[in-house]
Amino acid sequence: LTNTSITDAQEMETIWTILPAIILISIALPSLRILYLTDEINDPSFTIKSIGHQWYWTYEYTDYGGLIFNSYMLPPLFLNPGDLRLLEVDNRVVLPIEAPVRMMITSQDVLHSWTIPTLGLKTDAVPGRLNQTVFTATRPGVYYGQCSEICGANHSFMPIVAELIP
Amino acid sequence: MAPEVLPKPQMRGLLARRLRFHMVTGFVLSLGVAALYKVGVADKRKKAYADFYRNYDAMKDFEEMRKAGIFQSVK
Repeated sequence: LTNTSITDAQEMETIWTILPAIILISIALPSLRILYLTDEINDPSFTIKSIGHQWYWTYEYTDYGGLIFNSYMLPPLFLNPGDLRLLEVDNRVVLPIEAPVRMMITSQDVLHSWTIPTLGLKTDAVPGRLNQTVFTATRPGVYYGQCSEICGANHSFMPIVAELIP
Repeated sequence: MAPEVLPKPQMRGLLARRLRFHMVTGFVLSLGVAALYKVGVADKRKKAYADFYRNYDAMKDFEEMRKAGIFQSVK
């Protein structure tokens, strides 16, 4: 490394190319394995479709019968004391805890993103495409999220509220 | 009077010495910090989650929330 009179450093150059490549591959392979593991099949017990519109969400529960409803943000004038401004909706999406839930997310018009940060969920709603996210919640409660892909004038006013009950 | 003779300073191998020092130190420090992180942060976090969920009663939590009236679907 410190010999100043080498004119041909072929061996050294080979070593300091191959060795970092090996190090990087040995970092990448377990990382890719973990990445694919997060896509594992976990046999969801429940599937719900979430369709983004400008500027509200539609939820479809089609596993057992057909329940379809829209979820609009509650305007500030309609809030009760204690409600969260710009986060409350008229119809919340009700989900079970301790069961794998599959959310199929798409959009009717432009890009949206269905997000619930406290559940670690963020999935883009792409028109013409069905994205899937699977999760298993462990704690009951009310979970809030907001559309996370700019979708027009009321992008900030189409929140997501999930009620997780046993 | 004879002039004071200083010891001859290190004249060669300075870069090599610096490289060896830094390569060894870098290797040891990175392994050490990774090990400390694993024990002090990662394992501690996993243990905290395991301890929380060991005796967690979701139904009790749910009943308290239901009585507080936060749910729309169950009253």
